[in-house]
Order: sequence, then structure tokens, then C-alpha cells
Amino acid sequence: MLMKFRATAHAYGNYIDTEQILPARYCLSRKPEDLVPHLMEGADPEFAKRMKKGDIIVGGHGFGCGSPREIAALVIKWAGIRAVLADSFDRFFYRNAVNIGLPVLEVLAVQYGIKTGELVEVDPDQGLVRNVSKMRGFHCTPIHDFVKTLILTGGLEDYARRRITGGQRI
Amino acid sequence: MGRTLTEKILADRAEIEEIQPGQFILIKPDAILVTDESAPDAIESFKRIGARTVIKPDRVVFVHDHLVPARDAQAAETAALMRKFAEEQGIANYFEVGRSGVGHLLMLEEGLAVPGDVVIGADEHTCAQGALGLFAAGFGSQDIAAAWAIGETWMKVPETVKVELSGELPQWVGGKDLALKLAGDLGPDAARYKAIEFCGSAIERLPVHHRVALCAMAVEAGAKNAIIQADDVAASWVRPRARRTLRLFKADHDARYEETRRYDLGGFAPQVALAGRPIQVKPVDALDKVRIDQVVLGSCSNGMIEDLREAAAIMRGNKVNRQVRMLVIPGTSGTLKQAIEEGLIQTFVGAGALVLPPGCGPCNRGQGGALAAGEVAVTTAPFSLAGCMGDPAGQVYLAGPAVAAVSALMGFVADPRSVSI
Repeated sequence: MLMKFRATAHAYGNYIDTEQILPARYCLSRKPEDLVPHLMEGADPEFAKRMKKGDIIVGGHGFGCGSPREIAALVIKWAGIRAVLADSFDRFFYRNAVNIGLPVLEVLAVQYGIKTGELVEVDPDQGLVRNVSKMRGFHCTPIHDFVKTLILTGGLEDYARRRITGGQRI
Repeated sequence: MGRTLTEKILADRAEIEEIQPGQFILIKPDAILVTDESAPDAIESFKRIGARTVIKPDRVVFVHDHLVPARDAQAAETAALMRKFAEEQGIANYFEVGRSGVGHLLMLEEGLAVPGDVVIGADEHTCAQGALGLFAAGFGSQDIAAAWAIGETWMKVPETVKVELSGELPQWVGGKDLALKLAGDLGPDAARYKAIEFCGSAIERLPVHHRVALCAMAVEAGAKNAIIQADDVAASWVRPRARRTLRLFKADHDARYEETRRYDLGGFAPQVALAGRPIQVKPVDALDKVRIDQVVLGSCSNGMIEDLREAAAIMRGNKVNRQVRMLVIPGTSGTLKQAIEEGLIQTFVGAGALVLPPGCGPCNRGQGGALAAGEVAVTTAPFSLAGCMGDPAGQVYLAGPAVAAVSALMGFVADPRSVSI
């Protein structure tokens, strides 16, 4: 089971691509301390200074589109972002996020209902998202059991390790 | 309820009775394609998992296509790492430089991807392989590593968009033109994370190379995969080379599609697109005169022998414009050999073009052929992002082989229908 949580939102529009999430010029490094200060820099240069661990990112359609850069989702996780909510996700970004255990929720029209700084309540098990600041609710597909397993085990690599060492199917 | 072609293949391979869009499934792929570009990350991930052995090495295919031949010490290290891993793990389907080529084309030409298969590839344009009636999609390096370690991967069953094509394909219009037109019409959202199933009377007559070009571009519309039912055309092409039994699935008559789009090809013009994501597509005759510096013929979408024949037919006895560099990149070593036998290479070289080794070409910075700032190129590649072909300020137009060849001769983006050849 995933816990219901409350978090402050950082909201963006459609087509936030991987170049906006993490500009290619920083991608030579693979170290969290080099990369986290540049998270979302292409869309919002103030993001890294403003955000706090446990916050969420809200996007519109096609979040994570552009060049499939596996590091983009990882840096969001490294920064301590609790979840990404968007109208829709780019497929490669979605897979990468699921594979590293970063909760991603497709919430229709979420970009119009949540603004930066607003407080949001997310219940991943029930598929309920509520803008606490505005008293407005959204329904989405609850996080699937398999994805939940990946989030709880820490991601696909840990899941695969358990499968080969324990031999059990989860 | 009836099933789409993608749902049929996925349900069969996942060994499940019920399947519907949005469902998460675990599935055993028939083939796992890894390129020289993606191998290092996948091998790293495999080590992080702590896995020792690839459980089905006969299902793994290693190709050298992005960085051939190794351009620097780093690329050489990568290739060496791949070679060592393949040897340790007993990966027999390892295609060495000189016997390799664009992975997606090689898989089809070598009969390593056959109708009914589920293929995962560590490359975005893996969707090209759906041309032969199989499920094929691009996956990340962690997916590949996990599939090596446990023999399975997870998938979210996609919705399917059906595209029905009817009418006759006009001269100089091919799979690439259809693909560009469609990617422009669909935009980045209509097919996002979905399967595109091509069908209709025009598809039934469409040769395999046009099908490949059509499917290769699906990812540019955000799609997960593209698929064309394996009919007589596909089956007779693949049978002599197939390494596994063909399984010819058909969509059910009562299959549920999220959307159906219909096109009559009769009035279609050759298309060009200004590269980027999303791409901006226009019929070639709607474009103002755009001077060009470079033309690239090849890639996963137009690197087959028929694509080279089409371009050579236009170029035979003509010269590449004096202000233009033309690069010709046969898709695979097999295609290069065939092109030599048919005299196509002689035609290209005679016209003043440069022939490069089989592979992906410059569309991902791997094989040379970069643009300077402000230069303009026409390429038959399925995509180009800023900086993929050299300077980010270089402009890249995507087009089919006929537009590429005639543009190389004219020195600007040209319409093959307006030139007498």
C-alpha cells in the first residue's frame, strides 16, 4: 500500500521535454550533487532554489517528451520529488520513472487545476488527487499493483535482483 | 470482445486469456535488440542487478550501427565492452563491424524478427520492425538488463489507433511520405503511448520497404509501436530468411479501436518535414525554395535496397549539385553488397556522392557528416533533434529517397514530380 500524502506543487504546461527537465549540457556528469541544482532549469531557473524535498511536479500533456534521457527521471527522484502528476506522459519518460520507482500519475486536465505553491493531497492507491488550497478534486487511474511493487522495492533493478536471488514472482 | 493485432500478439506471448488497454502485463520477448550505443548502459544495469548470466542468450541480438567504425577511443572502449560481454554470455547473434548494419533492418533481413514475435530494442525506432506483423517497441537500458536477467519485461497494454489507407500510391510517393503526413496529422498527442495499426487496400499492395518507413516514424507521433498484419507480401519476403516459425495473426473483425482514421492515397504529394519534436510537415510543393548544403540517404526508415534503387534511378547519369555534399549510407552490409552488384554504388559515386559504412548515419552524431551552424540538410532519417546532426543551429528536413535524390541534384529542396528524369 502506498500512503496518502500532502505536498506543495510546482506546476507547468504542455510538452515539458527532457531538455527542460535537465539540459543536455549538464548530462556529462552522473552525480546527484552536480545535477540536482539544475533540475527543471530549462523550464524554470528558480525551481531548484524554491523546491523542498517531498514536493510534487505537475505537468500538462507529453511530460518528459523529446530526447529519451533516462537521467531526467532519475534526477527528479534524487531531488526528493515525491511524485509527478501530468495530463499525459511521454512513453519513454513514463517507463524510466516506473523503472526507478518514481510515482507518476496520469491525471486528466490536472494542469488547469493546480498552480505553483498550492497544496495538493495525493492518494495513489485510490487514484484521488485533491487541490487542498482550492478544494478541487481529480480522479485518475490508481497506481497499478505492479508499479506499486516497483515503487516499494526501489525499482526494476531491485525487483530483478529479488527475482534471481529469491526466485519468487512478486 | 475482439482484439486488435497488437492485443492478440501481446496476449499470446504473455500467455493470458484477458487483455485490455491500460493493463500491466509481464511478457517474454522473442528477441532483444541492443546496439553499440545502448549496450554500455544495459551492461552497467545488468551488473547493478547483480545478475551473472543472460538467461536466454539465443534471444539477444547485438549490432554495431550507431558508432561504426569506432570514431574515437571512447567508442572503441564501448565496442570492446560489448564484444567481451557477448563472448562471456554466449550471444551468438553478435554482428561485428563489417557484417552489421542498422539493427532494425538487420533483424528483418536476417530473419531474427518474424511475424507474431514480441521484440524489444534499446532504440527508439525499434517500432520499424512492426512492418512485418510483429510487436516491436523501444525500451530503456534498465528494461533490457532486467529482461536479460529474468527473461521478462513489463508492459502497459496500449490503446490502438487504426489507420486505413486506400487508393493508389502516386509515383515518387512512398512509405516515408505517408509516415510524415500521418505524423503531422496526428500531432504529438493523438497516438501517444498507443499502438498504430495500419490496414486497408493500399497496405495490401505496399512493398516491405514502404511498410518499414511507415512504421519507423510511429514514435515521432509518440506511439509505442506500429504494426501491419503479415499478409502474403510480408510472408513471402520473410519466409526464405526466417529463423523461427512465422505466426500470422489477424485483428478480430470486432476489435475495439480507440480511433480510426482513413486516407485515400490518390492525391498524396511527396512530403517534407522540418525536424524537431514535434515535426512540422508540409507537401514538398508548398515549400519556398530552400537551399541545401547536405543530403543524407539511408537510415532505419530508408536504408533498404529498394530505397537506394529509387534514389539511383533519379541520379543515374546526373551530378550532385556543386554546392551540395551527398552521403549515401546503405542500411546493412547485405544491402551494400547488393547495391554494389546492381551498380547502384557506381551510380552514386559517379554522381559525386560519398558512400559511408552501413549504419545509422549522422542522425545521432555517431558516424560523421555533421552540419556547421546555419547549414541546411535533407535526410531520409526518421528524426533529427537539435544538434543531432552537428551544430544545433543547423536545419534538417526529413524526406523520402526521391525528394532527397532530386534535391541533391538541384541544390534545393525539390519536388521529384517537377523534374523530368
